[in-house]
Amino acid sequence: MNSHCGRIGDSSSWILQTFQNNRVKQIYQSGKYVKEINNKKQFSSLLDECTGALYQSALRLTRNAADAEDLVAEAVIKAWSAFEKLEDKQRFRPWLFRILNNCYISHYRKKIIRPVETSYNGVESDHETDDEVISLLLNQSDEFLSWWANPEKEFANKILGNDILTAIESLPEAYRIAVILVNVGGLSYDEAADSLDVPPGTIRSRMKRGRTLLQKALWQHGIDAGLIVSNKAQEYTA
Amino acid sequence: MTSEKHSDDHDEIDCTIAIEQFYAYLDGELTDEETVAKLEQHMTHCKSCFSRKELELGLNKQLQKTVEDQVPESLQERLHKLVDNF
Repeated sequence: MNSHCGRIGDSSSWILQTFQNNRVKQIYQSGKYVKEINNKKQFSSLLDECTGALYQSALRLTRNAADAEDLVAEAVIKAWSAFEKLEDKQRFRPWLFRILNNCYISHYRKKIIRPVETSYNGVESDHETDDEVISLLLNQSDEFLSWWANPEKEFANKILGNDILTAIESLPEAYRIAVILVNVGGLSYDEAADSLDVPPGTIRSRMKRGRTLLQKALWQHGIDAGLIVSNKAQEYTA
Repeated sequence: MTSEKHSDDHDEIDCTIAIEQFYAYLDGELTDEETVAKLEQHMTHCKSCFSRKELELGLNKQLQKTVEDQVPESLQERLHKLVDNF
């Protein structure tokens, strides 16, 4: 009797256990499913917010539309596979740009032996010191300041966003990447340094030089596009 | 030369030092409060550095506005398909 009851009891217990296990499994699976759906929604929403910047950055890095799209797609796939591990979702944008840069480096870095720095005379050089760069920036800005009554604001308003992107594209590799990561991607100097495996001081220096070269390129563009009358500028700087 | 220094205030910095810190300041990377204060003080009376700051802020604004607006449709579709299949 006891053994019979025991068998019934065992059977009920087994059924209950199985039912509970299945229920737990269902709840677990449904919870996991819901979590995945929420993750995907969040990922998609965060991605939408920076797709433009991501593509434009990829385009300035690769200088080719098809390569840029491939690069973005690769970065997005890698980002999704690691999205769950990203603890601070507020840092999604710099995190994604970092992935983009890593993808770019893994495909194109072999082409880059060392950064080539362009001097303000258009002569390639890698011997400029910070002092020389600062001195050049001071003198270069004199042109802006001499020409415009309310110079920079007016100039910035006339320069189109695409002109700025084109100017960024014209920067030497090392500065181009630094400017894209920091000014477009929103990475901190430390994050950019980590991403490029260089000391933060190097990023600081590259940003200074990169932005100075950018000003130089935009100044030239302003002259070429007729936004700045060069002979008038020369009168002031003579 | 735009370098300006006001001799009546020995705590003032000149344009050379200001420019050295300038981009780190604009990028929010200058954490030393004293240096930030000196730089900001410098920009209140140095037209060159004030204008330089305005230019850089204007360019950054234009840049942000432009990059957010321009995504090819082909890429949008590709990314939507990708995310749907995740």
